[in-house]
Amino acid sequence: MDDLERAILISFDESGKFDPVLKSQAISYCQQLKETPLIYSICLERLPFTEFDQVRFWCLQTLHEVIRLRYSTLNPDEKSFIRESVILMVTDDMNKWVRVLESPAFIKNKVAQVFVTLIYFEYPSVWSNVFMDFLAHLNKGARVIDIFCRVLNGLDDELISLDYPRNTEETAAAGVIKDAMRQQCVSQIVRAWYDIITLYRNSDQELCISVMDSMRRYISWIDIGLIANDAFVPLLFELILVDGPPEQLRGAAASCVLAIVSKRMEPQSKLSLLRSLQINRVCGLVAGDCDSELVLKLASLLTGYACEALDCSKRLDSEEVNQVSMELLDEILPSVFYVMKSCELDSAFNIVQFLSGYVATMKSLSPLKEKQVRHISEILEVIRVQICYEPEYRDSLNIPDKIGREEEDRMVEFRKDLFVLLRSVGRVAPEVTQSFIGNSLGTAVTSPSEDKNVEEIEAAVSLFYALGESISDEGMKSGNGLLKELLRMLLSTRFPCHSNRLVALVYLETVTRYMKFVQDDNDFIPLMLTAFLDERGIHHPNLNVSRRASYLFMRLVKLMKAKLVPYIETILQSLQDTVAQLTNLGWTLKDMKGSGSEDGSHIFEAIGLLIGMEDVSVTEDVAAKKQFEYLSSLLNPLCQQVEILLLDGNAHSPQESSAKIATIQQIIMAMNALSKGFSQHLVTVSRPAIGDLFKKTLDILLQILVAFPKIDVLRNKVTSFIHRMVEVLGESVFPCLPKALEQLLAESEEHAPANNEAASQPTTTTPHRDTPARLTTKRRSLYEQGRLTSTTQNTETPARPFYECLRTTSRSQRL
Amino acid sequence: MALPNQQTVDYPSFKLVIVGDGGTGKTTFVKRHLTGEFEKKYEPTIGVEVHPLDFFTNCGKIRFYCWDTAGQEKFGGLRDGYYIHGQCAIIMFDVTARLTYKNVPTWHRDLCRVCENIPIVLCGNKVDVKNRQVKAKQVTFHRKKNLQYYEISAKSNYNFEKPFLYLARKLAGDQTIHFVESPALAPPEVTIDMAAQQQHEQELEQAINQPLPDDDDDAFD
Repeated sequence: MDDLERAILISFDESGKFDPVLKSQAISYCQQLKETPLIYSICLERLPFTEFDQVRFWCLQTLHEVIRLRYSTLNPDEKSFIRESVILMVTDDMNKWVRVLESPAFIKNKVAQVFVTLIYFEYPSVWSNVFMDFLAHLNKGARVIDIFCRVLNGLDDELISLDYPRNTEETAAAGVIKDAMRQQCVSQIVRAWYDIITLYRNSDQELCISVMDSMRRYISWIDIGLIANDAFVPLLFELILVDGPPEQLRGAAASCVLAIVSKRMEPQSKLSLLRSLQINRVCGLVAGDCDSELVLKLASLLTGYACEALDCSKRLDSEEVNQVSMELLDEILPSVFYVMKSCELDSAFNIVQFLSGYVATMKSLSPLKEKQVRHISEILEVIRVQICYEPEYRDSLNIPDKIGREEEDRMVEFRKDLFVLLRSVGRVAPEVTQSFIGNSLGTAVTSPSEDKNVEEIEAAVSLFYALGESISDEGMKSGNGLLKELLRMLLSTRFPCHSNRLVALVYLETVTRYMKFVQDDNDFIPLMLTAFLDERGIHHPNLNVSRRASYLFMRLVKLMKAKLVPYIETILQSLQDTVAQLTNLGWTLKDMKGSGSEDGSHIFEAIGLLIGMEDVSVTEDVAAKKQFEYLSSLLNPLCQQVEILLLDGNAHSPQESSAKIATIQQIIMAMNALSKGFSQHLVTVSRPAIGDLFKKTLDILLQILVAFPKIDVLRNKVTSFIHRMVEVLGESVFPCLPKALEQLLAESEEHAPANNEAASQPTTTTPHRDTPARLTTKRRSLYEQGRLTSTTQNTETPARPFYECLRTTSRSQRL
Repeated sequence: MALPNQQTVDYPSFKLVIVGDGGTGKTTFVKRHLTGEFEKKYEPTIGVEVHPLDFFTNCGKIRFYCWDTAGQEKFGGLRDGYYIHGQCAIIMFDVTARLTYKNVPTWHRDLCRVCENIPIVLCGNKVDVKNRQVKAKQVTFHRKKNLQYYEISAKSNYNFEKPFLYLARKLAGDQTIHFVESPALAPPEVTIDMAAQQQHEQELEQAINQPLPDDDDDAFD
């Protein structure tokens, strides 16, 4: 080892075992050497003899830099020296270069890169016979052939392939090189490929794979006739079909056929080409294990072929031609469907896009032939399989944890396109689609196992839901009311895996989606109520589900409350525990944050909607009595709870007090939601006793402001409740307002927006400001005169919610 | 050869090469991982920094020796020489600079010339910045080459673990591997919480799909 080798080895080292000073010396030594004029010859001399890969790599890298950056400064002798050395190297002259040519791949690829850079500068103008020279040495054997393939692949990567950004010079050079090659040597190269494959297919498959990799790349720009002929096509199919050679070799042959299939051509010639291939020969291989590389390659071939055939039929108008391309498609579609269902397909192929294109061809066909109906069923099955979650995520999705939420998001996004496809299939073949969905649902319902089919059940119900998204009232009635029966079946079903969050959620969403179609069918109501009120819905063990159920139940009550009158008693009874739970002690702020808008108060809103109806019972006096009972039985305990919480003062730890605040907050939200079902007319005119209940509640809630004067969340909640009461009680809220406003204003002085400069001054020393009490009186009189507008409020800005409250009051008075 | 034998560890370790245009955030990305910080070596003249980053999986600890290479050619040092014996790689681009995405194929080619058949993750960095130039849907390169793609934001730690987890699974040949504890990361430097942002977007989406509420109460809840 001399200084250069030592310096290279040190500069490659990142283990920290060399002294940094030594290392930087080594680096600058190498750098200096690179600057010397004869560095190319130093490298070329060193290359065949060094023992170290690092040194070989460095020499090749340096040589590449010399050619790439200093080519124009080299004199003709130097250029010719480099050229001659390099061709001797790649053609393994006198076995001198064995060490280089038997190095690891990264060295051989570097050799190819150097060679390709020379081609860039010298072919065809200076070194016109480079390929012919090279070809003449292929008979030396695998070592040279291997480098030959690497050079061809490198040429594609570095210059020809359209996958990389190129500057104009490079693009021009690539054009010149391709033209020259087409004219001069492509047919010889193709001939060599053929010979190599036939010669080495049993002895050196690596080499054959490498050759076919080059073929795959070059087919797009060479004469297709050189490959799509009686010599190559049978050879390629033989390689694919004969059981025995390693899968990689067979797969490489399949990739070549795919390149042939994908060649850009006129549709008419493309169609003849497609037909000549007799692609259905490979269909038999696409079965069973989809993890195998061969099956994956064949899957790409078949899907690629299918796309091309479909594309031909789109681009050719003639009926007859269309027929041909459809026949070609028909032959392979079953296998295409199989790979769609079973394989992790090459992501370059877009299943939805292809299937949508195929379904579009059926739009004009009516009625569908038997074969097409079969294809449609297959497409539906593909959709079903694709939308299934992976069982491995089951637990994560059920909780859901971070992984589960991400997977769910991914699936929601992924399903979008598939459901659009489902919709088009549903339009082309409504009966087939409905009966398919019916069958999957039927299978799901009768599935006996506890958790084996969680994902399939979720998918089956999701399909039914997706169908409901696109269906109209008429659609619902079509098909002998099949959908109605499916809904009835679903409503009467309790899946063994109903405790699964996703299953339960999609179940409830689906039921809600379809109920609007059957709201006039009274016999659905008890089924629906049971589903929502038992452990499939509001009593589901998962909080996520039960809260969503509460929300959806509220929507349903809104939709059909009049029909629910006979069930009010039952509903209230079965909700008793839930209601108690929601306002129970033991809430923490954290609990409430996690659930977003679905805080559980929807259940109170639903109840409010039900018991707020004027005709909760048939006769007026019974109705009034019942209504009062219902409401007071809900409001009174809540009020009592608030009073108890307010009673035992502030002698608590911050933790306890935060729990208390959370509970009060929850209670106010419940009351608020409850009040939404009551109209002003009912509360003030026909049943004033109800109004008194609300007034009493308001009185109690106002005490919260005294007990917790500085808690913003509570303040907001109470203000919100006052707002509600203004809407519900109308004018009759007036007697309560002075007290309410006083409480709110007392603190709003301190709660004035922080950006208001006046607010930062101590209130007591601001002479021009009204005292809270005076302000209240002033506002009341303004309000009573009906003159309170937003402009009169500008000078002393109280907290915004209060503002809002008054605005609403004046609005309701105008009404 | 070029595998660093510094702090040889008795658990699996892999050489991970990080490439991409200058300024795409490769260094920021690896430096988010705090355990790597203490042992880093800085070699500005040769254009690479090696960070040993440890991760805890359900199958035990693993280490990635992250070779954070210089993106700018003038600081390139040994350039593709650093890739030698790389076992996995990350190609980084900047979603706010189109050119850095355009150069991804070239980085990929240069990488594959030296490391054939290694698992590679493509990372679109800086998704926290508002004016993206490369939208998620425009990123298609990874599909052609069967790479994994992740959107990340090195500054906000968004998706920091994802590339490492993908590579760990590929290298182990086990899709079920997961990280059991999060690595210590430097606190986010930008306030935009990507997770929250994503949730916002998702909520927005859900909101669009929701039936409209028919009253406007609870305006200040």
